[in-house]
Amino acid sequence: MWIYEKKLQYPVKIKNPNARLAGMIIDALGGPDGELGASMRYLNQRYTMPSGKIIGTLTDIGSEELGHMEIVASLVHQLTRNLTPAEIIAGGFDKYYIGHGTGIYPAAASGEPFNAFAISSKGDAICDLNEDLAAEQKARVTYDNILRLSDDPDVNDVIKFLRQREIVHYQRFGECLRSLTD
Amino acid sequence: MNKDELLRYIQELAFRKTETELFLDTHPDCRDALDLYRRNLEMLEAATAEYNNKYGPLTATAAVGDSWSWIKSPWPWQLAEGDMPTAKGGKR
Repeated sequence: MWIYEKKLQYPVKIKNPNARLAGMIIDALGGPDGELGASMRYLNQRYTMPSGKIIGTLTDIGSEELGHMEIVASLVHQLTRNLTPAEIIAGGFDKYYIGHGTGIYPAAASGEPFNAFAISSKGDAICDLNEDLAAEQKARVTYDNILRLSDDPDVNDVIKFLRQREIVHYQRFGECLRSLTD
Repeated sequence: MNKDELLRYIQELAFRKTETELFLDTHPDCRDALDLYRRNLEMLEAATAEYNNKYGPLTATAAVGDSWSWIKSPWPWQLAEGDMPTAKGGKR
């Protein structure tokens, strides 16, 4: 069961709309290493895990990822407000816009819709935790790539927060894996 | 604290709560972390009660009054007027 709190985990206040940046950042929601896949991966892997420690970690990190989905969606929503048709085309956002307007749709930056193949759940604790460690690193690299291409300080402040969280989650998943192997 | 300051303070305390929960998941017998978690939770609950009271409900159960106030305060992704210095392209 989940309870909704009417606040973001980290504040999002983007002053300047930017269609091109929105088209990149949607990857962090619906791309193969995005927050939708992260939350679904962890929350679905829980059921066959062997210890309360691992189930608790997956529950709490999976729940936090739902909050990250909301942060990324807020970024895209604010970056696409009040865009003119010329700005949509100039920013390369036209391909997304034709299908979805400025609605939030989980897709990769390349335009591919979210694919459940991004969620690995094997029913094997060693396998799944190794998957989760890799997933956190892949998400971290995606945020690094966004930071390389974005020069908007409002956006980068939020992306840096999300990037940090991947590192903390990696640490916790590492402790879970070591609880099985040591 | 004004509305924005109090919300920011709650976000900081809630972040500390999340971070301590994750740490406790893999360090369940750490007394220092448990103490920190409980002290922080008291501060978070007090600040949340103050916010619910002054500025509107953060959870549906905190909605009070003769009308359903849950749907009346802004949603977390919605910007206030002061957050939008550049007006271009017009409303849509």
